[in-house]
Amino acid sequence: MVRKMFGLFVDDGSLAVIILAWVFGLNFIAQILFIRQTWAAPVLFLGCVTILIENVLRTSRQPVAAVEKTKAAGVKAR
Amino acid sequence: MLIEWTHIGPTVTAAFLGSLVEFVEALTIVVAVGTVRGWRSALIGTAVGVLALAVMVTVFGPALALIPITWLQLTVGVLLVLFGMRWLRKAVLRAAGVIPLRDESQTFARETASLRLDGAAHNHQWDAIAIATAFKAVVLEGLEVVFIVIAVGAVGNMLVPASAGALAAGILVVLFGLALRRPLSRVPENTLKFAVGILISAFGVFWVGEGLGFHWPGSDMSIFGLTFGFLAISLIMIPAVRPWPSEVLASAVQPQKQL
Repeated sequence: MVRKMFGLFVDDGSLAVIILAWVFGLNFIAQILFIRQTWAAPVLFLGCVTILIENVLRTSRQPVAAVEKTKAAGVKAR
Repeated sequence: MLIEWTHIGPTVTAAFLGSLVEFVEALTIVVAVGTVRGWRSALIGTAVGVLALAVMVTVFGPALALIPITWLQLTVGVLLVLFGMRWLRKAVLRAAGVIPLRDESQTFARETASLRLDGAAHNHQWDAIAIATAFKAVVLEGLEVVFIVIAVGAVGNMLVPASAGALAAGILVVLFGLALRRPLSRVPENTLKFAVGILISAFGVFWVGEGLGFHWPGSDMSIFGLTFGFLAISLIMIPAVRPWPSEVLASAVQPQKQL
């Protein structure tokens, strides 16, 4: 049950780790560069979108994605 | 009236759509349990699950008011981003055909097969397996509903509209479930998860920014911009990651092998 609850937020571990690293890394950089009032918010959004794009592209190119698809179609994988 | 709707509209919509998906998933399990093991035990498990959720919300809900607002915004925002982008990522991959669509009929068939393997139901006694299965499904899916309602409603004082959205979704699913007594397999689940993933991700990014003290152009209205941004990117990604037909790949690879 606890594992399932954890799974609500973390499915692909790399996605969760990169998001957390981006959020807290940007906060650290924003404090140093004093960009809080102007560009920090749009940069936060662009970073999250970039992370999403990278993860989707990487997942779509993984062989396991093709294996899962063939399994679902009922075809035996070689 | 228009200004009020632009404020509460995204919250109500996100809560309604997100809760709709969870209620449908819970209904699939409860219907499977009721069909195979008997409705009495299925409904007992469901009722106990709802009661457990009510107790959790009553006990832990007021604790939210004790948390400093910036911490609440940041924590809720991060959880929303993790939750929303997880759903959005999977919805994009499913829409592109990279991973198979979730099929409630298959889930129903799998659950009924599993429940039959656990032995015959005891019509005159408490069916512990049935009660436990229904209870777990209701609590787990219900926790997701509670999270969605609190996450999209608590930080912006929108708990009432968010709860109303979730309640409307619950009533709709229960009515359809009672009428059909089978899984709602025609619900476009991936489309719903796609929409909810976009909304939840937009809310999450907004609240993370607020929690970190960033300034959003247009304040609350920037949620609309974030929503459209995620939507545009996701719609572009779907055809971009769609697998090529195998014939095209085979003919592309063969000339290289000859070299």
